[in-house]
Amino acid sequence: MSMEDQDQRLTDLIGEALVPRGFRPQSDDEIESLLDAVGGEPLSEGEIERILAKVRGEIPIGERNPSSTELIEGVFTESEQELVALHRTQGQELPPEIQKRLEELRKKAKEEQKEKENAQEE
Amino acid sequence: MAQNTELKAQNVEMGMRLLQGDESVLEDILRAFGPPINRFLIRKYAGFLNNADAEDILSRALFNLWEVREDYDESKGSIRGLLFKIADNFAKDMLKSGWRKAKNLEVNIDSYVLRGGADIAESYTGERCADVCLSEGDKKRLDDLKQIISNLPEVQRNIITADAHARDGKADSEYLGEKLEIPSGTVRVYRNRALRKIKEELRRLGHRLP
Repeated sequence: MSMEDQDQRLTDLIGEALVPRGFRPQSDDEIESLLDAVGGEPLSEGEIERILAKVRGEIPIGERNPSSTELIEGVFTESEQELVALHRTQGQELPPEIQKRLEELRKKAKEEQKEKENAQEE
Repeated sequence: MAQNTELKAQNVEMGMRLLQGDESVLEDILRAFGPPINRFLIRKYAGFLNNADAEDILSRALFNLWEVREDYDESKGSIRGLLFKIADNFAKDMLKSGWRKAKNLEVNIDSYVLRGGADIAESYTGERCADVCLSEGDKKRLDDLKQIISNLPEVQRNIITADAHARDGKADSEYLGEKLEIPSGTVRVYRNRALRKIKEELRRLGHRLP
């Protein structure tokens, strides 16, 4: 057995250990029972509108960058922050000058983090 | 019983509208079936997906459902079940490859049927069939493994847990790095350390590695 096969088997075993059985339904009947049991609050009108807008492609999905959001506060001027917020909520591209500035801040934050990591390793 | 009948009637009506290409059915599907799927995603992937991620996955699942609508066959399962499988599989793909790659994966209704059933069944050795499927030694190994993982440092444990929930058992290091606020290179280093530790401990406890 190759090293890769061994690792894959270990990975499978870890999956069995960590993903609860209830979250691994085996059949359509189990899926239906699971969903009946899970329940869930009705979605708000705002959520419904947003999700449908995402389905239609009017709002991008999976495009969040929490670190850059944190960086915005206190670094950008108030008008720049408003501009960023406006473009984000409308799912639009940010203006190039703001993007450039965000990139610089992201790079700086990554370098600082790396330095911190290196210091901890030493 | 009444709920069952209602669900079946809903399914037939929505299935017909899907096949007819009636786009407004998506809103009705979302209102009817979105809440439990959304809740399931938040619970199963707690720690790796937040509410916004779950909402995005639900959006993408609805989009993918629309893409495969012409192949929908109600005799093979409900719309709710299909939407669930699409969402759960998309979550696994997203954890494995990140948003961009997951969004570009080909959508094929047959893949949901197989992934929702067969691959889960193949790897299944859980509680309900534990007596049948697992020997005493295997059960002990699984219990020891859980203990070993719970003793790992928190960040390593989070990485290993995210891997366990991702497609093919490995989460995207970039994505995890963002979530855990550490560089992706560090995610890889910690992952290797954790796996090494798990192997060492399993051996020390007298288990043969799988």
